[in-house]
Amino acid sequence: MKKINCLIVEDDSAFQKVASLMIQKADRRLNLVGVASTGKEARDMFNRYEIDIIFLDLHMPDMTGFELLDEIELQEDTQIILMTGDEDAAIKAFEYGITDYLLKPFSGIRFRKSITRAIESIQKENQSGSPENILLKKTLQLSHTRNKEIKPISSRSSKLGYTYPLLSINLDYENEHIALDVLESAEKEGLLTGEFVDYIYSCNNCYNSLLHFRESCPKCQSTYLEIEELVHHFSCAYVGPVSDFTKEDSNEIKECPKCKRILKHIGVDYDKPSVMYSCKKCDHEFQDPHIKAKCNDCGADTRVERLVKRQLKKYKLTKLGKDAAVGKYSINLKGFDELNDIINKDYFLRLLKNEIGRKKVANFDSTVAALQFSNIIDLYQGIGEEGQKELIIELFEHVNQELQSSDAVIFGDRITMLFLFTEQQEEVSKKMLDSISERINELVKDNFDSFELTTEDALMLIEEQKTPLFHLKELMNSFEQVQQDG
Amino acid sequence: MVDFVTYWTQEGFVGFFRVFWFYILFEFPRFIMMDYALLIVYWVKSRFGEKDYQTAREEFLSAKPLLSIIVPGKNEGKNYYRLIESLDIQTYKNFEVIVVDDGSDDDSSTIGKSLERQGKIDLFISHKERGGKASAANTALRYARGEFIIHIDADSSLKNDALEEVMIPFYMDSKIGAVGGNLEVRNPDQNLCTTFQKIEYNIFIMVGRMVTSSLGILRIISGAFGAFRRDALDQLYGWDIGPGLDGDITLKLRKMGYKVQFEPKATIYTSVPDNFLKLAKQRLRWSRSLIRFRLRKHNNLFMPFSTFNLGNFISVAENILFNFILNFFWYLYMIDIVVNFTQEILYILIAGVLLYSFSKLLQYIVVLILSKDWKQKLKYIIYLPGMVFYTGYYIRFVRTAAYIKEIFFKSSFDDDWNPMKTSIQGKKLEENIEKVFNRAG
Amino acid sequence: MAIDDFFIDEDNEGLEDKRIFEVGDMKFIRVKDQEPLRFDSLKTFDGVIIEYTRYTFTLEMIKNIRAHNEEQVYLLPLFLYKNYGGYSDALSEMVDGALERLNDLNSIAETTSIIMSRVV
Repeated sequence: MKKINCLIVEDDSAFQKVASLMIQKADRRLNLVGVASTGKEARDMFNRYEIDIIFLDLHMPDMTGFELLDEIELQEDTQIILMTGDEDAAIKAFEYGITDYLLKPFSGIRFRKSITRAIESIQKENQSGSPENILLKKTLQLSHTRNKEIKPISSRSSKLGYTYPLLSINLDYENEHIALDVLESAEKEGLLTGEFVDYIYSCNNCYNSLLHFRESCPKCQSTYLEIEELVHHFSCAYVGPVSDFTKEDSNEIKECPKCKRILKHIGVDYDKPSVMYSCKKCDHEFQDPHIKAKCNDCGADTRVERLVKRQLKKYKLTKLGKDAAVGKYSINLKGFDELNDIINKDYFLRLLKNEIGRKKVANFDSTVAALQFSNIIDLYQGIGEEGQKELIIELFEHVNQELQSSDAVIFGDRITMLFLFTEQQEEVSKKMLDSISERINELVKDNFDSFELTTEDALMLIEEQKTPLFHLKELMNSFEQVQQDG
Repeated sequence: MVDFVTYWTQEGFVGFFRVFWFYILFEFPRFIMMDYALLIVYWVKSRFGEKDYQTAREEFLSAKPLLSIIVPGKNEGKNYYRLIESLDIQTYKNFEVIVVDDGSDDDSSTIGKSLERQGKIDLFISHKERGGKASAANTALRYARGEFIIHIDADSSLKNDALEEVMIPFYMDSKIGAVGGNLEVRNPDQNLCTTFQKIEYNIFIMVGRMVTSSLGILRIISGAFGAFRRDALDQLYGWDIGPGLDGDITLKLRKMGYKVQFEPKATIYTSVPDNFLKLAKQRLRWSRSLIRFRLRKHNNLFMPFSTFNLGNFISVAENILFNFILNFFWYLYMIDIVVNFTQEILYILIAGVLLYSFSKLLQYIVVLILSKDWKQKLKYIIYLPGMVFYTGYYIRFVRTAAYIKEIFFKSSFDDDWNPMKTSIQGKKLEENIEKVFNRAG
Repeated sequence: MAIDDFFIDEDNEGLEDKRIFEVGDMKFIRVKDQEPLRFDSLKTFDGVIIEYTRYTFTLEMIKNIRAHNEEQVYLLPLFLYKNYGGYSDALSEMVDGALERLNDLNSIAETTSIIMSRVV
């Protein structure tokens, strides 16, 4: 957990105490590194520690806050929260690129709001470094504002042979394949749902899809090959290539070299059981050539079995994706690998598959259920990435304790919990679900400043004729509907 | 028991002869006398031929010719591994392996291609449509690059010195066009059926072929393991449609003037049918070939043509005489015994068993003398009395059935051993050949 | 001489040189696809009408707008004008509509307001 280091620069000792207390109460990740009473002290501390947020009072004994800012080497992402009674000075301070200012006296709520902003800014800085995240955000926004699917278009000038117009336009030719990676990650993160369109094969050296396919000799790799059909003459059992049977230049008349009879009708006198390739370069004879694909960009000649095969999909935004498009949820691809054990849709599907299998040979009821926390994004915004992770882990562990050992819970994505209640009637399971939902609400309220969590729930009996994926879709669809009505 | 001894002492030698004349006149000379005569010939040859063998061996090894091992077959995929393994451990290494998959409908094609990719098979050819053993062998021949062609059945595996041993005779006598290897049963101890076959193979194939080979009248180079001079095969344009294509090509080579030799030191292992029903079917197929080729296709041997040759004549004649004619003759003999000796049938039966068992023992001793692994072969002696019934009755009946079917119903053409299309063509061809020869003759 | 000299474009009469179009409280700017532009300046408009002369120019202009790093630029509704008969699939994915004539901008206004309602 990355701590956010804070420095209080304030000469009033009473106020120092107040500020310290507020920082500690506001957010667990804030780490008060020190309190400075003079500019000099502040400068020393700034040099010694890596400070993320400075709570700065403008008026200090040895210098003004501005002078201090001039002296120290501010990092680009260091957040400055100015605390002052002087409004004019506050406005001037914006020239220094401060994050926020607090006019004394200020309330606890105001204080916390400014901290949230500061933390958000820090996160944005961390994120905006990643080009993939930016790229994805743009794409999501464009898709959302136009209410259009993100779908691949066939394009000859594109490296992959396909382009996602609004996404690929941000990429230069060399990097066009990144589009696929970004969309794939986004789907994994639950921001998009994908539907299969096609498979594409690309050069495994440079990802180009314009390839020349031809047969080659397995021994010497040459593509200078000749192919001949074999002829089997029934009556004398002679087998040889067509050229054994043709006279000089004529291709038509077929005389058997063995018994000299003339072959008239295929299927009656003879047949063609197979073909034979011969390599004109090394004289090797064989039946199965290697099929190779030559890349017309980089010239690499690869066997088709080794080409890169990627799935091409068209995508729609999920609820999470829409939240990300409007900025409610900050995108951080690949940032949640640590929670692989807890946010794992595939695991749920596997469990469900087993349960369906069990149900087929026995007679009992089992149910699957889901809880979606529709406004938890707002909470996540306030607590940042680390906070999100901790909250999810805590919820997971709490719920796990409540469940029977044969039941299971897992997060399907960051805002949805999936449940499997085994060998219980539907009513009993519903009761369990409700009680869990209540507990979660209480937990969140207690820990996060009375935050009221809105939860939607869905529950269904397991139908052994249906696939696991069907069940998941049913559950998730019930949430979507509510969304549309609202 | 006492009655038994009394009866025979009464009958004396004359009585004994009267009862067992069939054995004394035909079976004893053909099987016992000839075997032992050969044994002496063989011993003499090996004593004084030792130098020949060694020289030939050195000549062969320094010439180091390329051998093409051809393996035609259908649905033999599961046997490829075992065969390839046995080739890997051969003492002679200069060979290429060509496997032809003749329209398999199992995963033989997959297995073959995989082995080809690994380099264990040099050329794997797969036909979509089945064409028959002959066409498959001819396909391999067409793409073979070796000086000698070794034709092997896919379900066999070679002894580690088999390639070497089968090749040496070519370097002992340049007139030799083909060499046949010795077949041993892979699964002799599986059950009674396989044990009988093991003894049968040893007595009839191993010893039997040695006899005919030494006398220059060898009939079959078995398709299970046969080595040929490539140029000889090219002149013939390979094999003709079967069944019995092994015997057919052997005879053609002899007609061309080549010698055909059996080499007992070159050993190949083959699986045999493990129940009597399957065995009967196999023998039916084998027996039919006798009629097919000897009497029909090669009946020109009996005509005074320039192709006539005493050796060939004797070879075919001997075969026809003992296997075919005598087979039917035996039934007359049986009738004679049953009709004329109804009272004493029990005594005759017992005496017969004793006589034939002893006869088999004599034959088996030859096997032991000729085998390198005679110690392992000793234990099978106890099965010899059973062998009497096996060869005397079971095999005999099976053969008779085959002959009857073939003579009267031309049924081998309808045999599904060859796919329909080739047999119809073959029939047509045979009719044409008959026309030609009848006109000429 | 431009082709317009030979044809009297009734629908667009008088609008040839007009650059800024207003519909309700929305402002659209019309640019030629070869025009060198300061793309930041597009921010102040609600939508852009791109006059199509050649595919490569139009593509380049669209690219500059859509690949811009400022949200107010890359999210702008884009419309093609004077393209006479269609454009590639890829291009049509990147713009939000097309105009035949300049005197009736209601459709693009409607499209624009729908889009803007979905922008936060």
